[in-house]
Amino acid sequence: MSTDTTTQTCTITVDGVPVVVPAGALLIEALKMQGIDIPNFCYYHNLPAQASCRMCLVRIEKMPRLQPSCTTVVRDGMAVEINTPEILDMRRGMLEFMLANHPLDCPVCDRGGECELQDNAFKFGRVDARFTEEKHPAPDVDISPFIYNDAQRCVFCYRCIRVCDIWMDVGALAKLNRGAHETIGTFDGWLDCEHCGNCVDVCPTGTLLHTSYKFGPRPWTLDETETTCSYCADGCRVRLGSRGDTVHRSIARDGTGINEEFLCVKGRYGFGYINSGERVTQPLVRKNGELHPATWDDALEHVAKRLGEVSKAKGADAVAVLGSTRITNEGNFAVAEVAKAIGTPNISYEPDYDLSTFMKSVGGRLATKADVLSADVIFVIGGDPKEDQPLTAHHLVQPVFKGKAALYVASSRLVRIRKRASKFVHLRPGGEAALLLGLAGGSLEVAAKAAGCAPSDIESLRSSLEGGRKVVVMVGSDCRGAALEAASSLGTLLAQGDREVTYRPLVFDNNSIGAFDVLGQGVPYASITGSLGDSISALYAVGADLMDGEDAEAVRARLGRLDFLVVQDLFMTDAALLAEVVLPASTYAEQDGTFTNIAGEVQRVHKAIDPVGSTRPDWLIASQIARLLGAEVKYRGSVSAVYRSLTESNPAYANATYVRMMTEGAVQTERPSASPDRSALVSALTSATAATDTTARHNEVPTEMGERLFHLGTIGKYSKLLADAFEDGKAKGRSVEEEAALIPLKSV
Amino acid sequence: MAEPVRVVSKRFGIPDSHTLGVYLEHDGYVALEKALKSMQPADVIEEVKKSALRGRGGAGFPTGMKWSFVPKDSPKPKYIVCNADESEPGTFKDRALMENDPHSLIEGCLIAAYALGSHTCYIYIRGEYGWVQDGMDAAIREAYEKGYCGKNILGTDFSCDVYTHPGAGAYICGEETALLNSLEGKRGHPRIKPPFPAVEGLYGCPTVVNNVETLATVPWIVQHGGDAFRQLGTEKSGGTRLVSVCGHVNKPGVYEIPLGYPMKDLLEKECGGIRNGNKLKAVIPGGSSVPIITAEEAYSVKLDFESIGEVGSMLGSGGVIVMDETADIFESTFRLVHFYKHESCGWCTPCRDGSDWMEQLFDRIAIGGGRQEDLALITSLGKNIEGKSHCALADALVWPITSSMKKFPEDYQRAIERSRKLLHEPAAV
Repeated sequence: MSTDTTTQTCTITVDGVPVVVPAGALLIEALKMQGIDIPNFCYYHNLPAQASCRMCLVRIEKMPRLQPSCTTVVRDGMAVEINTPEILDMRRGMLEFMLANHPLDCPVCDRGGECELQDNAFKFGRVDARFTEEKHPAPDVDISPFIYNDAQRCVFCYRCIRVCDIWMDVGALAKLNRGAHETIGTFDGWLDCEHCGNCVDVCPTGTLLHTSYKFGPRPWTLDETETTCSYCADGCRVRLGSRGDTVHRSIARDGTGINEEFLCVKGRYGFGYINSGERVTQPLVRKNGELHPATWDDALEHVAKRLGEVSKAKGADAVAVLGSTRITNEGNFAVAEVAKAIGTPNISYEPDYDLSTFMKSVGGRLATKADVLSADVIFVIGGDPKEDQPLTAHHLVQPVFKGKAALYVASSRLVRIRKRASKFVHLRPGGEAALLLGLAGGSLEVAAKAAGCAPSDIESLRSSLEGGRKVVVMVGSDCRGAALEAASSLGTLLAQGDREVTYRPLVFDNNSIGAFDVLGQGVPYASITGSLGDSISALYAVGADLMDGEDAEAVRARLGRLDFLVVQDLFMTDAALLAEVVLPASTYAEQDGTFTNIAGEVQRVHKAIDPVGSTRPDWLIASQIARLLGAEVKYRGSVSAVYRSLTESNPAYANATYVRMMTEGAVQTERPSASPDRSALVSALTSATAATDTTARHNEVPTEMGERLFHLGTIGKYSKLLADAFEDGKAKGRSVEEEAALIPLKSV
Repeated sequence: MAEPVRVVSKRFGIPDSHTLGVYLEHDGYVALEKALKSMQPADVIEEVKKSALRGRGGAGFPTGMKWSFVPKDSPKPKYIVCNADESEPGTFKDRALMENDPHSLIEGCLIAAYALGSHTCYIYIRGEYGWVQDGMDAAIREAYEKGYCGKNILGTDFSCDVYTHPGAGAYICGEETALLNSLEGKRGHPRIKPPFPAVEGLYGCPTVVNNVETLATVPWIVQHGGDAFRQLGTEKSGGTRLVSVCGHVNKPGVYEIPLGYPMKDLLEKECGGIRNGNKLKAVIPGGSSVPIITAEEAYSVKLDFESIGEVGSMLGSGGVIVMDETADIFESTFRLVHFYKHESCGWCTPCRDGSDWMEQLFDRIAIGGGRQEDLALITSLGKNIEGKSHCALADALVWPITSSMKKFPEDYQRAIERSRKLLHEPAAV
């Protein structure tokens, strides 16, 4: 569990055999390290001890009663019996009790085949059933759009309740009733939570299950592929369970990635877009004003021909190429090759965060999971990880809960995570620069007035931050300009001291940092979209949400003035409807590649299913176009060759090879940290503070659960399960049937 | 033999004994004054240790030793919690104590608080004792008004607050760590021990949890000395204690007896013998959780922790349940099994599922359909439950069953035969 105890060891005997284990470890964990599994239900490696299932009892010398190995700490010379007739009898008896009221409906249970109760009953249970009394039936009921509860299968390990309380800090689940009538549930029968579904994945039985997987394929018939989630920048590792060409579930049950078992609602339930019936599945070329299916050869030749024509007639500058923060690094790299082949400097992507400013001034390493978990001070400014980066939020509350780290939050919004903060500074909108000026030692009165807080707030925040030895600064997107520069080099602004400061830009999209690394920010996105139809006559747009903003109509008019528009996407977006050629791209589940996450770590994307219809991966389509445009493309049909070219051209990626990712999982890119000029930062902050609108009123509306977490975005919109559950960032109300099916509180 | 000394029940029966005025007339708050003004906290603990006072709630743990487990140098606040969640079937001594002599409990709490460096006492009273709580509250108010509680008690620099808190009707909240959870506003589940409450109790702070009678005994010990108290009882079980006798005796009620007092005398002298001149059949000597004993054993046993252990039972909470020859031990045990099943908190597997199964077996035997092999199954289930649960409640379910099956097998055999007949000859409707 923890690595700091491994230095000292002690010797215990297990059934007479001496075993060397780490001193101070829990017996069950110490034995696990030796490859000895003690059967258990309520023990879970990163939840507090429970000792309620009594399955892990062992005999310890000189103790009058059997002892739970999940709460016993090893002592030197301890003699433990784990395989005696007494213990085997005890396990048989305990399983008999658990199965007494269990419906024994394994053949129709979706957990069948990966159920801990089944496994343990098989290994340790009785062959015959002595229970001939009546069982207490309980109907299985939906308790949310995503989760259903088959209460009779429960063994009351309370893992779900602890996960909801401790991992998620939500506390939506509880025990209802008492004794043999106890059930897991919620007080009005409906889950009011983040719908992360982690309670389902930690359930050792078939009690809590995914509605999306109800009566789905048996788990052992699924092909499981470990890959990287395509939603937010946290980059959780997911296991896609597929059969044939269909993805059936997305889980993290083996707990190997940076997220261990953790997933959020989108990562777990947002896979529906992969097999959505609305995917574009074949190339479309416009003829006589209408889009018609075409072969890949025809479509690609048409694209190359028309791009070449425009470039020849109006100059290479008249062609623009857009990549995306959503597609793989390999995809963006190949898209950049198209721009090179044409010779246009007009290549960009729609950024979700001002990474060029951040990276220019970042004063240290990007904070990894290990940095967050081992920090003693965590400072979140201008962001809301609970809504936008759920894994980051999960990681940062862990050391806070354990009392190892103090959390400080400064935001103009009343973010939910403020409740876990040692101090929350409520800024006025745009008050970030002023606060940072105060932290940098500027006049407290001036800073506090512009920031909209008390001078003492800034003073105490400063001394708290300066007291940290391992500080993690999380810079949200509310920080802009001077505030962003200053926040990303906060370490240089604070008084000098012996401390390590790491930084995390709270970016949003799954491959934001990757897109920045591969495509750079040569030409600002706005200047390209602003010139469409004027100086730019042809556009090759890959995975770009051109018309998702408020200026959709203006963009539509500009796109209409283009000579040539080719859109490469998963769905018929509004821009695709205007295109001359639509190229159908594959989703992340249908291709290999890499994403770069919020910590600048590169992680592999693995192909889980064959491309849907005749779609192709972005890197393949783009490199084919580049070749047709006359570029020398070395990497025919091999994504690893694309990536190798990428690592050769980008030193940050030089060490992050596929081989290392295979053994290490996430490999952090190596980027030089900037050494910003402190006085320049302070003077920028001073002028930004002077320009702060001190009449702006504080936003007093608390952030609601799901306000942005439940926002769907393009791919979420096509995931039926999510779209059915959420609307405008809110959970939809329950239906009449669902209302009627809620479990009533029993009067026992 | 001289009239036995009454320690905790000496004010019982005096008119208005629950008022401060009457309490003060009968040595009230003398011990508190003695402790505060002429004794060091360590002296108080030493005196309690000397008295060989053992917890009166059921487990019988030496009180002085429990107090000495509280870390002296802990920077955290320390708490005294009085366990007045008297829910053991057959036990009603604490109720009598709180009704008749609430100030002795308050005084005991305050002395304990002084001894342990605590400034807050909670009296956790079972929810069904609403009027008892009202009485305690009235007594606490009186004590505050006269300066026995609150700031600078009796003009010294010792301050201490006393509060009552009602339970919500769960038997498990009489278990000390479940009680602490309940007091904190959480669900009443027993906690994992260690850490014990003396180190990490209420709100994670050092806490001593004592029974009502235990605390109410402390003033007498402080006033008269630990040795005087110990001499009232036996060497290992000091002093006197209250027993509440119910069942088939002529005069059920609460009696104070010196430890080591013969059970026979209790039944015949204090309680006026078995009702209707019937023969004694069985006695549950210490509240429903302890193993049952036969009439023969009851007539030979002495009421102290050691000799009652020799007949395989315990003094427990002092609830003596007497059953005469008309009682059916299968039926009386079924009633207890039902109680323990109903009160199982559901935390751990053997108690939650074991008690439910056990009750269903007893129920089937009682209503018809019982089988001879059910008796072996009951024994086997008992073995699978006993000693494997999270707290002692599951053992409390098993002990009455195993002891009664061992000592009254004919009652079980009769139940099986009756059950068979019921199945084949359903009662006319």
